[in-house]
Amino acid sequence: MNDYGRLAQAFVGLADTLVADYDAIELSQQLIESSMALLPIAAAGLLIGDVHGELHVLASSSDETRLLELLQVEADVGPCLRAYRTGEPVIVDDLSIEPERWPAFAAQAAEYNYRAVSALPMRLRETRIGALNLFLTEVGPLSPTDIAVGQALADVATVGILHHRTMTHSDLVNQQLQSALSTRVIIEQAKGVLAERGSVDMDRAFVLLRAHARKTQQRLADVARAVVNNADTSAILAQEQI
Amino acid sequence: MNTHDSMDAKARFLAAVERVPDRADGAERLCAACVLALPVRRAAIAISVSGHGLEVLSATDQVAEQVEWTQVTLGEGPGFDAVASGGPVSLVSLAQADGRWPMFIPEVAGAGIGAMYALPLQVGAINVGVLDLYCGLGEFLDGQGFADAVAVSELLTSVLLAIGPGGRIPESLGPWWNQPLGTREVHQATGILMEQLGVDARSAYVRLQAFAFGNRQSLKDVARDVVSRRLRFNPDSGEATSSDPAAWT
Repeated sequence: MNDYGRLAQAFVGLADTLVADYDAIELSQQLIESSMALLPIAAAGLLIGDVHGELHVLASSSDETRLLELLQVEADVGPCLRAYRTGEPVIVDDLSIEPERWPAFAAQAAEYNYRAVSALPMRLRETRIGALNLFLTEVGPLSPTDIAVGQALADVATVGILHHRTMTHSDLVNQQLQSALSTRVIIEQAKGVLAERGSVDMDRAFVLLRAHARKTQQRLADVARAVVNNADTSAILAQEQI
Repeated sequence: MNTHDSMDAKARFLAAVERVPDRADGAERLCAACVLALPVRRAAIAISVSGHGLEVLSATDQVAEQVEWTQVTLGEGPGFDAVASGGPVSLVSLAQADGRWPMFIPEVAGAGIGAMYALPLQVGAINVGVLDLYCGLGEFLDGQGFADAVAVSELLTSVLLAIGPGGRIPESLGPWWNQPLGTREVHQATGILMEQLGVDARSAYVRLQAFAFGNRQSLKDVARDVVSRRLRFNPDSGEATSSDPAAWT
Protein backbone atom coordinates (compact mmCIF):
# COMPACT_ATOMS: atom_id res chain seq x y z
CA MET A 1 0.00 0.00 0.00
CA ASN A 2 1.41 3.41 -0.85
CA ASP A 3 1.71 6.36 1.54
CA TYR A 4 -1.61 7.85 0.54
CA GLY A 5 -3.36 4.57 1.09
CA ARG A 6 -1.89 4.12 4.55
CA LEU A 7 -2.73 7.68 5.49
CA ALA A 8 -6.30 7.27 4.33
CA GLN A 9 -6.58 4.00 6.22
CA ALA A 10 -5.33 5.61 9.41
CA PHE A 11 -7.87 8.42 9.28
CA VAL A 12 -10.71 6.11 8.33
CA GLY A 13 -9.81 3.99 11.32
CA LEU A 14 -9.90 7.01 13.63
CA ALA A 15 -13.18 8.21 12.16
CA ASP A 16 -14.68 4.76 12.74
CA THR A 17 -13.64 4.94 16.37
CA LEU A 18 -15.19 8.36 16.78
CA VAL A 19 -18.48 7.35 15.19
CA ALA A 20 -18.82 4.23 17.33
CA ASP A 21 -19.20 4.40 21.06
CA TYR A 22 -15.59 4.96 21.96
CA ASP A 23 -13.52 5.93 24.92
CA ALA A 24 -10.55 8.22 25.20
CA ILE A 25 -8.04 5.44 25.81
CA GLU A 26 -8.98 3.38 22.76
CA LEU A 27 -8.91 6.50 20.62
CA SER A 28 -5.52 7.53 21.99
CA GLN A 29 -4.07 4.06 21.48
CA GLN A 30 -5.26 4.04 17.85
CA LEU A 31 -3.70 7.40 17.38
CA ILE A 32 -0.38 6.14 18.70
CA GLU A 33 -0.54 3.16 16.37
CA SER A 34 -1.35 5.38 13.42
CA SER A 35 1.61 7.60 14.27
CA MET A 36 3.90 4.59 14.42
CA ALA A 37 2.60 3.28 11.09
CA LEU A 38 2.72 6.56 9.22
CA LEU A 39 5.75 8.37 10.57
CA PRO A 40 9.46 7.46 10.64
CA ILE A 41 9.52 7.27 14.42
CA ALA A 42 10.76 4.73 16.94
CA ALA A 43 8.32 5.40 19.79
CA ALA A 44 5.40 7.63 20.68
CA GLY A 45 3.52 8.77 23.75
CA LEU A 46 0.38 10.78 24.27
CA LEU A 47 0.15 12.78 27.48
CA ILE A 48 -2.67 14.87 28.92
CA GLY A 49 -2.68 17.37 31.75
CA ASP A 50 -4.64 16.93 34.96
CA VAL A 51 -6.34 19.66 36.92
CA HIS A 52 -2.99 20.68 38.43
CA GLY A 53 -1.43 21.08 34.99
CA GLU A 54 0.72 17.97 35.44
CA LEU A 55 1.14 15.69 32.43
CA HIS A 56 0.28 12.00 32.58
CA VAL A 57 0.71 9.30 29.92
CA LEU A 58 -2.65 8.38 28.42
CA ALA A 59 -1.29 6.04 25.75
CA SER A 60 2.11 4.90 24.46
CA SER A 61 3.58 2.72 21.75
CA SER A 62 4.81 0.25 24.32
CA ASP A 63 4.43 -0.48 28.00
CA GLU A 64 8.17 -0.77 28.49
CA THR A 65 9.17 0.80 31.74
CA ARG A 66 12.03 2.70 30.13
CA LEU A 67 9.75 4.42 27.62
CA LEU A 68 7.24 5.30 30.31
CA GLU A 69 9.93 6.63 32.60
CA LEU A 70 11.48 8.65 29.80
CA LEU A 71 8.06 10.14 29.01
CA GLN A 72 7.59 10.99 32.66
CA VAL A 73 10.97 12.68 32.89
CA GLU A 74 10.06 14.66 29.79
CA ALA A 75 6.66 15.51 31.27
CA ASP A 76 8.40 17.05 34.28
CA VAL A 77 10.88 19.08 32.23
CA GLY A 78 11.19 18.69 28.49
CA PRO A 79 9.85 19.49 25.02
CA CYS A 80 6.55 17.79 25.80
CA LEU A 81 5.82 20.06 28.74
CA ARG A 82 6.79 23.08 26.69
CA ALA A 83 4.48 22.10 23.82
CA TYR A 84 1.63 21.62 26.29
CA ARG A 85 2.20 24.93 28.03
CA THR A 86 2.75 27.04 24.93
CA GLY A 87 0.40 25.30 22.51
CA GLU A 88 3.23 25.33 19.96
CA PRO A 89 5.14 22.39 18.44
CA VAL A 90 8.60 21.81 19.87
CA ILE A 91 10.81 20.08 17.31
CA VAL A 92 14.26 19.00 18.41
CA ASP A 93 16.29 17.62 15.53
CA ASP A 94 19.31 16.66 17.58
CA LEU A 95 19.07 16.17 21.32
CA SER A 96 22.87 16.22 21.67
CA ILE A 97 23.02 19.91 20.76
CA GLU A 98 22.07 22.13 23.71
CA PRO A 99 21.78 19.29 26.26
CA GLU A 100 21.72 21.89 29.01
CA ARG A 101 18.22 22.85 27.95
CA TRP A 102 16.70 19.70 29.44
CA PRO A 103 19.65 17.85 30.94
CA ALA A 104 17.85 14.97 32.65
CA PHE A 105 15.66 14.26 29.67
CA ALA A 106 18.45 14.56 27.08
CA ALA A 107 20.70 12.23 29.07
CA GLN A 108 18.03 9.58 29.49
CA ALA A 109 16.92 9.80 25.87
CA ALA A 110 20.52 9.32 24.75
CA GLU A 111 20.76 6.19 26.86
CA TYR A 112 17.91 4.70 24.86
CA ASN A 113 19.31 5.90 21.56
CA TYR A 114 16.59 8.46 20.92
CA ARG A 115 18.36 11.23 19.05
CA ALA A 116 15.49 13.52 18.12
CA VAL A 117 12.04 14.32 19.47
CA SER A 118 9.00 16.19 18.26
CA ALA A 119 6.35 17.29 20.74
CA LEU A 120 3.08 18.35 19.11
CA PRO A 121 0.51 20.23 21.18
CA MET A 122 -2.98 18.88 21.70
CA ARG A 123 -5.12 21.96 21.61
CA LEU A 124 -8.49 23.18 20.45
CA ARG A 125 -8.55 26.95 20.00
CA GLU A 126 -7.55 28.31 23.40
CA THR A 127 -7.81 25.04 25.25
CA ARG A 128 -4.58 23.07 25.68
CA ILE A 129 -4.99 19.55 26.93
CA GLY A 130 -1.64 17.80 26.39
CA ALA A 131 0.93 16.76 23.81
CA LEU A 132 1.76 14.00 21.34
CA ASN A 133 5.37 13.00 21.70
CA LEU A 134 7.36 11.36 18.90
CA PHE A 135 10.83 9.84 19.35
CA LEU A 136 13.31 9.20 16.55
CA THR A 137 16.53 7.23 16.59
CA GLU A 138 17.94 9.30 13.73
CA VAL A 139 19.12 12.86 14.00
CA GLY A 140 17.41 15.22 11.61
CA PRO A 141 14.14 17.01 11.14
CA LEU A 142 10.80 15.37 10.53
CA SER A 143 9.63 16.54 7.11
CA PRO A 144 6.98 19.29 7.05
CA THR A 145 4.53 16.70 5.72
CA ASP A 146 5.27 14.36 8.59
CA ILE A 147 4.84 17.16 11.10
CA ALA A 148 1.52 18.09 9.48
CA VAL A 149 0.33 14.48 9.64
CA GLY A 150 1.39 14.21 13.27
CA GLN A 151 -0.36 17.45 14.17
CA ALA A 152 -3.53 16.34 12.34
CA LEU A 153 -3.53 13.10 14.34
CA ALA A 154 -3.05 15.06 17.55
CA ASP A 155 -5.92 17.37 16.59
CA VAL A 156 -8.26 14.44 15.96
CA ALA A 157 -7.37 13.03 19.36
CA THR A 158 -8.01 16.37 21.03
CA VAL A 159 -11.47 16.69 19.54
CA GLY A 160 -12.20 13.08 20.39
CA ILE A 161 -11.15 13.43 24.00
CA LEU A 162 -13.09 16.64 24.50
CA HIS A 163 -16.17 15.01 22.97
CA HIS A 164 -17.53 18.19 21.60
CA ARG A 165 -16.11 20.56 19.00
CA THR A 166 -17.51 23.62 20.68
CA MET A 167 -16.63 22.68 24.24
CA THR A 168 -13.97 24.94 25.59
CA HIS A 169 -15.38 25.84 28.99
CA SER A 170 -12.64 24.89 31.41
CA ASP A 171 -14.97 23.17 33.87
CA LEU A 172 -16.18 20.76 31.23
CA VAL A 173 -12.63 20.27 30.00
CA ASN A 174 -11.56 19.38 33.53
CA GLN A 175 -14.34 16.85 33.75
CA GLN A 176 -13.37 15.20 30.47
CA LEU A 177 -9.66 15.08 31.23
CA GLN A 178 -10.04 13.78 34.77
CA SER A 179 -12.53 11.25 33.45
CA ALA A 180 -10.04 10.08 30.81
CA LEU A 181 -7.33 9.75 33.45
CA SER A 182 -9.73 7.79 35.63
CA THR A 183 -10.39 5.42 32.74
CA ARG A 184 -6.66 4.88 32.43
CA VAL A 185 -6.59 3.88 36.10
CA ILE A 186 -9.34 1.32 35.54
CA ILE A 187 -7.38 -0.13 32.64
CA GLU A 188 -4.24 -0.46 34.76
CA GLN A 189 -6.25 -2.18 37.50
CA ALA A 190 -7.68 -4.59 34.91
CA LYS A 191 -4.20 -5.26 33.50
CA GLY A 192 -3.05 -6.26 36.98
CA VAL A 193 -5.87 -8.77 37.35
CA LEU A 194 -5.27 -10.30 33.91
CA ALA A 195 -1.50 -10.37 34.24
CA GLU A 196 -1.64 -12.25 37.52
CA ARG A 197 -4.50 -14.54 36.61
CA GLY A 198 -3.21 -15.41 33.15
CA SER A 199 0.50 -15.26 33.99
CA VAL A 200 1.13 -12.78 31.21
CA ASP A 201 3.03 -9.51 31.21
CA MET A 202 1.28 -6.13 31.38
CA ASP A 203 1.73 -5.43 27.67
CA ARG A 204 0.06 -8.70 26.75
CA ALA A 205 -2.72 -8.10 29.26
CA PHE A 206 -3.49 -4.80 27.53
CA VAL A 207 -3.45 -6.41 24.09
CA LEU A 208 -5.92 -9.05 25.30
CA LEU A 209 -8.20 -6.43 26.81
CA ARG A 210 -8.31 -4.35 23.63
CA ALA A 211 -8.79 -7.34 21.35
CA HIS A 212 -11.68 -8.64 23.42
CA ALA A 213 -13.34 -5.21 23.51
CA ARG A 214 -13.11 -4.95 19.75
CA LYS A 215 -14.32 -8.47 19.13
CA THR A 216 -17.34 -8.08 21.41
CA GLN A 217 -17.93 -4.49 20.25
CA GLN A 218 -17.73 -3.05 23.71
CA ARG A 219 -15.94 0.04 24.91
CA LEU A 220 -12.50 -0.71 26.24
CA ALA A 221 -13.37 1.17 29.44
CA ASP A 222 -16.45 -1.01 30.00
CA VAL A 223 -14.54 -4.26 29.53
CA ALA A 224 -11.82 -3.07 31.90
CA ARG A 225 -14.36 -2.04 34.52
CA ALA A 226 -16.09 -5.42 34.28
CA VAL A 227 -12.75 -7.19 34.82
CA VAL A 228 -12.06 -5.12 37.93
CA ASN A 229 -15.59 -5.82 39.15
CA ASN A 230 -14.78 -9.54 39.02
CA ALA A 231 -16.33 -10.53 35.73
CA ASP A 232 -15.41 -13.85 34.19
CA THR A 233 -12.18 -13.34 32.26
CA SER A 234 -11.80 -16.79 30.70
CA ALA A 235 -12.83 -15.55 27.25
CA ILE A 236 -10.34 -12.68 27.45
CA LEU A 237 -7.47 -14.91 28.53
CA ALA A 238 -8.30 -17.68 26.08
CA GLN A 239 -7.62 -15.48 23.09
CA GLU A 240 -4.74 -16.60 20.93
CA GLN A 241 -3.39 -15.51 17.60
CA ILE A 242 -3.17 -11.84 18.53
CA MET B 1 -2.30 26.65 39.59
CA ASN B 2 0.47 24.26 40.35
CA THR B 3 1.13 21.08 42.23
CA HIS B 4 3.17 22.75 44.91
CA ASP B 5 0.27 24.91 46.03
CA SER B 6 -2.03 21.92 45.94
CA MET B 7 0.39 19.99 48.14
CA ASP B 8 -0.17 22.84 50.58
CA ALA B 9 -3.92 22.25 50.30
CA LYS B 10 -3.45 18.61 51.32
CA ALA B 11 -1.23 19.67 54.21
CA ARG B 12 -3.84 22.28 55.23
CA PHE B 13 -6.51 19.60 55.19
CA LEU B 14 -4.44 17.24 57.36
CA ALA B 15 -3.82 20.05 59.84
CA ALA B 16 -7.50 21.01 59.77
CA VAL B 17 -8.60 17.47 60.68
CA GLU B 18 -6.69 17.89 63.90
CA ARG B 19 -8.08 21.36 64.62
CA VAL B 20 -11.74 20.50 64.28
CA PRO B 21 -13.31 20.07 67.71
CA ASP B 22 -13.78 16.40 68.37
CA ARG B 23 -17.20 15.08 67.31
CA ALA B 24 -18.78 11.71 67.82
CA ASP B 25 -19.12 11.21 64.08
CA GLY B 26 -15.72 10.93 62.38
CA ALA B 27 -17.09 11.79 58.96
CA GLU B 28 -18.40 15.13 60.22
CA ARG B 29 -14.85 16.00 61.10
CA LEU B 30 -13.74 15.34 57.52
CA CYS B 31 -16.46 17.63 56.15
CA ALA B 32 -15.53 20.37 58.61
CA ALA B 33 -11.87 20.03 57.66
CA CYS B 34 -12.80 20.60 53.98
CA VAL B 35 -14.38 23.93 54.85
CA LEU B 36 -11.35 24.96 56.92
CA ALA B 37 -8.86 24.00 54.21
CA LEU B 38 -10.73 25.24 51.13
CA PRO B 39 -12.43 28.52 50.22
CA VAL B 40 -15.90 26.94 50.37
CA ARG B 41 -18.84 27.54 52.68
CA ARG B 42 -20.24 24.03 53.08
CA ALA B 43 -19.30 20.44 52.39
CA ALA B 44 -21.00 17.06 52.29
CA ILE B 45 -19.90 13.51 51.63
CA ALA B 46 -22.16 10.90 50.04
CA ILE B 47 -21.22 7.25 49.83
CA SER B 48 -21.85 5.01 46.83
CA VAL B 49 -24.22 2.15 47.54
CA SER B 50 -24.86 -0.92 45.45
CA GLY B 51 -26.26 -0.24 42.03
CA HIS B 52 -25.97 3.41 41.19
CA GLY B 53 -27.21 4.95 44.41
CA LEU B 54 -25.74 7.39 46.87
CA GLU B 55 -26.30 7.71 50.60
CA VAL B 56 -25.55 10.85 52.57
CA LEU B 57 -22.69 10.20 55.00
CA SER B 58 -22.20 13.61 56.50
CA ALA B 59 -22.67 17.34 55.94
CA THR B 60 -21.37 20.48 57.63
CA ASP B 61 -24.80 22.04 58.16
CA GLN B 62 -28.52 21.74 57.50
CA VAL B 63 -28.46 23.51 54.15
CA ALA B 64 -25.85 21.13 52.75
CA GLU B 65 -27.64 18.17 54.27
CA GLN B 66 -30.94 19.23 52.73
CA VAL B 67 -29.43 19.68 49.28
CA GLU B 68 -27.72 16.29 49.56
CA TRP B 69 -30.93 14.53 50.59
CA THR B 70 -32.74 16.16 47.68
CA GLN B 71 -30.10 14.87 45.31
CA VAL B 72 -30.14 11.37 46.75
CA THR B 73 -33.93 11.10 46.84
CA LEU B 74 -34.33 12.31 43.27
CA GLY B 75 -31.44 10.18 42.06
CA GLU B 76 -30.27 13.18 40.05
CA GLY B 77 -27.67 15.87 40.51
CA PRO B 78 -24.03 16.89 40.02
CA GLY B 79 -22.89 14.25 42.50
CA PHE B 80 -24.42 11.43 40.48
CA ASP B 81 -22.89 12.77 37.27
CA ALA B 82 -19.48 13.01 38.90
CA VAL B 83 -19.59 9.39 40.03
CA ALA B 84 -20.82 8.19 36.65
CA SER B 85 -18.28 10.11 34.59
CA GLY B 86 -15.29 9.72 36.89
CA GLY B 87 -14.60 13.44 36.57
CA PRO B 88 -15.46 16.53 38.66
CA VAL B 89 -18.73 18.32 37.85
CA SER B 90 -18.81 22.08 38.36
CA LEU B 91 -21.89 24.24 38.58
CA VAL B 92 -20.76 27.84 38.85
CA SER B 93 -24.26 28.98 39.73
CA LEU B 94 -27.65 27.30 39.84
CA ALA B 95 -28.79 29.68 37.11
CA GLN B 96 -26.22 28.18 34.74
CA ALA B 97 -27.45 24.61 34.93
CA ASP B 98 -28.45 24.82 31.25
CA GLY B 99 -31.27 22.32 31.54
CA ARG B 100 -29.22 19.72 33.40
CA TRP B 101 -30.89 18.10 36.43
CA PRO B 102 -34.40 19.38 35.68
CA MET B 103 -35.86 18.01 38.92
CA PHE B 104 -32.95 18.80 41.24
CA ILE B 105 -32.29 22.44 40.28
CA PRO B 106 -35.78 23.86 40.98
CA GLU B 107 -35.88 21.96 44.30
CA VAL B 108 -32.71 23.63 45.59
CA ALA B 109 -33.16 27.04 43.96
CA GLY B 110 -34.11 28.69 47.23
CA ALA B 111 -31.40 27.11 49.35
CA GLY B 112 -29.06 30.09 49.04
CA ILE B 113 -26.08 28.28 47.54
CA GLY B 114 -23.65 29.69 45.02
CA ALA B 115 -21.35 27.41 43.07
CA MET B 116 -21.47 23.66 43.66
CA TYR B 117 -18.61 21.27 42.91
CA ALA B 118 -19.08 17.52 42.89
CA LEU B 119 -15.78 15.66 43.15
CA PRO B 120 -15.85 11.89 42.69
CA LEU B 121 -14.15 9.88 45.44
CA GLN B 122 -12.73 7.05 43.37
CA VAL B 123 -9.62 5.09 42.52
CA GLY B 124 -10.43 3.87 39.03
CA ALA B 125 -13.17 1.28 39.43
CA ILE B 126 -13.08 1.56 43.22
CA ASN B 127 -16.05 3.74 43.97
CA VAL B 128 -16.24 5.35 47.40
CA GLY B 129 -18.69 8.14 46.70
CA VAL B 130 -18.63 11.88 46.11
CA LEU B 131 -17.53 15.04 47.90
CA ASP B 132 -19.93 17.93 47.29
CA LEU B 133 -18.61 21.42 48.02
CA TYR B 134 -20.78 24.52 48.16
CA CYS B 135 -19.81 28.17 47.90
CA GLY B 136 -21.81 31.09 49.22
CA LEU B 137 -24.30 32.93 47.00
CA GLY B 138 -22.50 34.65 44.17
CA GLU B 139 -19.22 32.91 45.01
CA PHE B 140 -17.24 30.29 43.14
CA LEU B 141 -13.76 28.72 43.06
CA ASP B 142 -10.95 30.09 40.93
CA GLY B 143 -8.46 27.81 39.15
CA GLN B 144 -6.23 27.27 42.18
CA GLY B 145 -9.22 26.78 44.48
CA PHE B 146 -10.60 24.14 42.17
CA ALA B 147 -7.27 22.32 41.86
CA ASP B 148 -6.98 22.37 45.66
CA ALA B 149 -10.47 20.92 45.97
CA VAL B 150 -9.53 18.04 43.68
CA ALA B 151 -6.36 17.42 45.72
CA VAL B 152 -8.37 17.32 48.96
CA SER B 153 -10.90 14.95 47.39
CA GLU B 154 -8.06 12.54 46.59
CA LEU B 155 -6.81 12.68 50.16
CA LEU B 156 -10.34 12.15 51.44
CA THR B 157 -10.72 9.10 49.19
CA SER B 158 -7.59 7.63 50.67
CA VAL B 159 -8.73 8.21 54.26
CA LEU B 160 -12.24 6.87 53.69
CA LEU B 161 -10.85 3.71 52.10
CA ALA B 162 -8.43 3.12 54.94
CA ILE B 163 -10.89 3.61 57.79
CA GLY B 164 -13.63 1.60 56.08
CA PRO B 165 -17.39 1.95 56.43
CA GLY B 166 -18.27 3.27 59.86
CA GLY B 167 -14.63 3.64 60.77
CA ARG B 168 -13.23 6.30 63.04
CA ILE B 169 -10.78 8.94 61.96
CA PRO B 170 -7.63 8.72 64.06
CA GLU B 171 -6.79 11.74 66.26
CA SER B 172 -4.42 13.07 63.69
CA LEU B 173 -3.38 12.13 60.20
CA GLY B 174 0.36 12.29 59.67
CA PRO B 175 2.37 13.16 56.56
CA TRP B 176 2.12 9.59 55.24
CA TRP B 177 -1.32 10.53 53.94
CA ASN B 178 0.10 13.29 51.80
CA GLN B 179 0.91 11.09 48.78
CA PRO B 180 -0.84 10.45 45.47
CA LEU B 181 -3.75 8.00 45.39
CA GLY B 182 -1.74 5.92 42.99
CA THR B 183 0.80 5.48 40.26
CA ARG B 184 0.48 3.16 37.29
CA GLU B 185 2.12 0.44 39.40
CA VAL B 186 -0.18 1.01 42.37
CA HIS B 187 -3.16 0.37 40.12
CA GLN B 188 -1.59 -2.70 38.56
CA ALA B 189 -0.63 -3.95 42.03
CA THR B 190 -4.26 -3.57 43.09
CA GLY B 191 -5.28 -5.94 40.31
CA ILE B 192 -2.48 -8.35 41.16
CA LEU B 193 -3.49 -8.42 44.81
CA MET B 194 -7.13 -9.02 43.89
CA GLU B 195 -5.98 -12.21 42.26
CA GLN B 196 -3.42 -13.23 44.89
CA LEU B 197 -5.80 -12.73 47.79
CA GLY B 198 -9.08 -13.52 46.03
CA VAL B 199 -10.67 -10.24 47.12
CA ASP B 200 -12.37 -7.31 45.44
CA ALA B 201 -10.52 -4.23 44.21
CA ARG B 202 -11.37 -2.13 47.23
CA SER B 203 -10.08 -4.73 49.67
CA ALA B 204 -6.93 -5.17 47.62
CA TYR B 205 -6.20 -1.44 47.63
CA VAL B 206 -6.87 -1.19 51.37
CA ARG B 207 -4.49 -4.11 51.93
CA LEU B 208 -1.79 -2.26 50.01
CA GLN B 209 -2.44 0.85 52.08
CA ALA B 210 -2.25 -1.09 55.34
CA PHE B 211 0.99 -2.81 54.34
CA ALA B 212 2.60 0.44 53.19
CA PHE B 213 1.46 2.35 56.27
CA GLY B 214 2.56 -0.41 58.62
CA ASN B 215 6.00 -0.59 57.02
CA ARG B 216 6.32 3.18 56.77
CA GLN B 217 6.69 2.98 53.01
CA SER B 218 4.96 4.88 50.25
CA LEU B 219 2.24 3.13 48.27
CA LYS B 220 4.38 3.67 45.22
CA ASP B 221 7.32 1.70 46.60
CA VAL B 222 5.23 -1.21 47.83
CA ALA B 223 3.47 -1.36 44.47
CA ARG B 224 6.78 -1.51 42.65
CA ASP B 225 7.72 -4.57 44.70
CA VAL B 226 4.36 -6.21 44.03
CA VAL B 227 4.51 -5.61 40.26
CA SER B 228 8.09 -6.87 40.04
CA ARG B 229 6.93 -9.93 42.00
CA ARG B 230 9.53 -9.29 44.72
CA LEU B 231 6.57 -9.16 47.08
CA ARG B 232 3.69 -11.63 47.04
CA PHE B 233 0.64 -11.71 49.27
CA ASN B 234 -0.49 -15.02 50.68
CA PRO B 235 -4.25 -15.67 50.71
CA ASP B 236 -4.20 -18.06 53.65
CA SER B 237 -2.16 -16.09 56.09
CA GLY B 238 -2.81 -12.72 54.50
CA GLU B 239 0.89 -12.16 55.05
CA ALA B 240 3.27 -10.87 52.46
CA THR B 241 6.43 -12.70 51.53
CA SER B 242 9.43 -11.12 49.99
CA SER B 243 11.61 -12.96 47.55
CA ASP B 244 14.32 -10.37 47.67
CA PRO B 245 17.39 -11.95 49.31
CA ALA B 246 18.55 -8.53 50.42
CA ALA B 247 15.45 -8.30 52.62
CA TRP B 248 16.84 -10.92 54.95
CA THR B 249 20.14 -9.19 55.62
